[in-house]
Amino acid sequence: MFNFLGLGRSGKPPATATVVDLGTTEAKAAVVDLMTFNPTLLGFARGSYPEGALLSGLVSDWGQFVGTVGEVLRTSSLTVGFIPQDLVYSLSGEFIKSFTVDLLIHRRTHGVIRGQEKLEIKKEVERLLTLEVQKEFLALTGNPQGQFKVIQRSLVGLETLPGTRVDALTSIHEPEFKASFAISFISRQTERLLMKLTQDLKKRWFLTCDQTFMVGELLKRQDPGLSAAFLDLGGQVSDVVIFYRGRVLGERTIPLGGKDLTELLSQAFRLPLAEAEIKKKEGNLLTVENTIEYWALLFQGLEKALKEISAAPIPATWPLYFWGGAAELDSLRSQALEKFLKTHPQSILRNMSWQKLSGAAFKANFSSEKEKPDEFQAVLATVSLIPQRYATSEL
Amino acid sequence: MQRVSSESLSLWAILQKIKSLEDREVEVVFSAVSPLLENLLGLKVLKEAVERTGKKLTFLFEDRNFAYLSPFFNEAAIKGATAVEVSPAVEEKSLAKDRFRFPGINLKFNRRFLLLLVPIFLVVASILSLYYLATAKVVVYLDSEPLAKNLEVLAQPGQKNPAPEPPTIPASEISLSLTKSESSPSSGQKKIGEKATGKVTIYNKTTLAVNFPAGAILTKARINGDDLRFLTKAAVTVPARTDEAKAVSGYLPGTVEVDVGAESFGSDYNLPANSDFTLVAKPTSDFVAQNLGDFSGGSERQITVVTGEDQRKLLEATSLSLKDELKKSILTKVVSGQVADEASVSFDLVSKTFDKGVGEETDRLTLNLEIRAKALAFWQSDLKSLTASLLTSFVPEGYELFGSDQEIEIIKTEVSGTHLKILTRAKGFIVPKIDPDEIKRKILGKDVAFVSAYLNSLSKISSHSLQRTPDFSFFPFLPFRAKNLKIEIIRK
Repeated sequence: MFNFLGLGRSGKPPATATVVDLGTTEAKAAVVDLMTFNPTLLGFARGSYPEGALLSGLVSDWGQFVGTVGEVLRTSSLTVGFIPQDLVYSLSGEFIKSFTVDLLIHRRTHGVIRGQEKLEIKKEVERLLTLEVQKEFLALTGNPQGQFKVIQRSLVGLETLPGTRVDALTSIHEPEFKASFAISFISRQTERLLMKLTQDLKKRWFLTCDQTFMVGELLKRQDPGLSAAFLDLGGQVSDVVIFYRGRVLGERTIPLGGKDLTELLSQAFRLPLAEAEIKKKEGNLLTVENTIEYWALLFQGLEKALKEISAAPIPATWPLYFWGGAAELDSLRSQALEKFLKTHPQSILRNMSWQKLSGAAFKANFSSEKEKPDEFQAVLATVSLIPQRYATSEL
Repeated sequence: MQRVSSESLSLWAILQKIKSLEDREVEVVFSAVSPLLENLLGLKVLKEAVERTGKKLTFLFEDRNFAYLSPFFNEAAIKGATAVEVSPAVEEKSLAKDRFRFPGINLKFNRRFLLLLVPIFLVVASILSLYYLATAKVVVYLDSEPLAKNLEVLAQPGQKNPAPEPPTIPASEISLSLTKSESSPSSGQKKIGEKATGKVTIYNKTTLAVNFPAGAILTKARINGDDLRFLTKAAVTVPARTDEAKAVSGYLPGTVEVDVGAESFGSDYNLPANSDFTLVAKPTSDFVAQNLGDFSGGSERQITVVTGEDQRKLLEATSLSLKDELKKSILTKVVSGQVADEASVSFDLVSKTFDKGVGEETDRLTLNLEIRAKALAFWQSDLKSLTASLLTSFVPEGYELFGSDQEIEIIKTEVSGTHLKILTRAKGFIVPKIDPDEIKRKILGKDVAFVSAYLNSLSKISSHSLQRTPDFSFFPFLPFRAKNLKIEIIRK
């Protein structure tokens, strides 16, 4: 079932790899050993880009960008003793998007699928998947002519009509069946960026993962029928993903992040940006009053994103898992939400249960020779799922 | 309306800028590099946030590549782009250009060195030109004698290659079937008709009952013509006479009625009632017969029928014309370079069907005839190569057959069993034997005077001529390259 219709990838995975998280304000790297039962974390490092090097996925200073990523790779391997040749890109929402596609396949006949029919179905699946990605790309960017690259298409369900789940294509005898795929795709612009980055770093591009989607996938290990929303509060943008009954419904990016809070402090207290960043982390100068406008905008963006992803209203009691830099200001966020709900009593955020995720939440899924860094949640989710992701993906 | 440039600004920063403006109407200008352009959700959040403050926001997309965003914002101020369009293809091209930059080559020449270089270059170029480009043609004329021989060659189906002993060349069999339908008038005459029938009463004057078998003959005498004959249709017994005193004769004859039919066709047999008949071989004193009713149904007419002679003549004529057609058609099946003689064509009767048999009535007789023709064809080139090689055996010592243009004349062809016998006349020319390569070796690169003297010294050569290109008097040599010197031999 993994290599459905030969759409999956084959070949031997490398023994070690570096997982690279290209965030909007900083890059993170984690060196992992993939030969152990669970992937083993050997080393990790992080580094911020110089101011203005990267703006919401647009690289404005290529040299500084490559320099920062290269330095982070080098630092992550300092205690390991070597730098792996293969890179696993763990991308946040401004670079990558995921969603699930259900395809209804109508056969001309019934009985076991084989030979020429199998080839025809494969071709049709390819065509329909491309159309679905095109529609999703249009919804995300408004661009009807957008160019993209599908980097993962995992078969997540196969059922004959009506509603009978089957384990493999060979079990299908009916003239109609439904195949569900989890799709991750990137724009051609992002593909070119990653190719050039890999080339300039003199490495091999091994795998690409959607890190927000990966967090959901990892939580599915405890609850296969997971229904929840996910929010990655990043430096410049915040990514929103919805899982419904274990399937990723879609992903949106709100162009608001922790950096905007830094600017808010800088302007309010007339501080240089670097100093404002320190004050933000200390949390002394931030109050609900002086940040409510920021939080309100974030909540409104979150509401809009959730509504766009899920056509049906999502139940208010759903958990909302969140992490990232701004998640450290959870107390402030909580107070701000309370204030926001007073003026927005109908908000769908009212009864959602906000649950902060830390790296420790994924403890069981990988081994580590180091102390597990709490702020590496999404990266660690990717690390944990590399073997599974490799088996079902196609670069 | 006030304008805000979005370049390099985050959503938050744009929003703060807009809030700081006093105007109620604001226009946000997006350039091609604005990070918000690829995020439809971000643009919607921005617009709604601004409108919540009571201000009116419009977007201006400077780059036409983002014109597709206009339908998403109803009042969207897509006011046409003035910015320079940069397509992804152009970007890639410029990226590649930067990546692969080759160092330039900068050579500096000394002017005096150049002046010295030019004449050297010209001399070298002239020498090389004469060496590589100069050509010459030497034409050698030889006296020739004709050589003609009559040769018999067999063309044999199944033969793969020409063989000299016995002289045989391969032949291939061509076959063709044609069908023809012809008709001719019938000449036979025949009478047909209906026979008259009726009933007669036979009178027995004897004292014994007499049996008459079916087919007993009754005749009716006529004044003109032969007697008319009738046959009884059933066996009957005529009872003996019975005594009757009252009768004049003293008795009453025994009688019996029987159906009769005329022996032949014709209306003459339609006799009226009360006609008298005589029974063959019975005297009228003992037996007579008479019909009580008219005989009827007798008739006669003459028809045209097919005769055996008609069929023979039609078959002969049709075969003749069909064979003529087949001969013409089969020879058109011969491909270019092949030869097939009319004499080699043979025929097989495939089928013949007459629409009427002998004696059947018809005015015209029709015949469908199918004949298959077979011919033996051979390749002219095979005949030519074999006769040329045969001719060689007649060439005297010190001579050779000139060229390959021997004339081959086919005198006669004759089918003999499965093969074709071809009588040919082969004609060629013999010339004294010379070695052009030897001559070439001797004169290559030599001056014209030497060449002339050398060729004159060869007794086998009748005369010669020489053409040089270019024909420079200051350079009286033949080419140095064998490839550029051509020896042509012509017979006189």
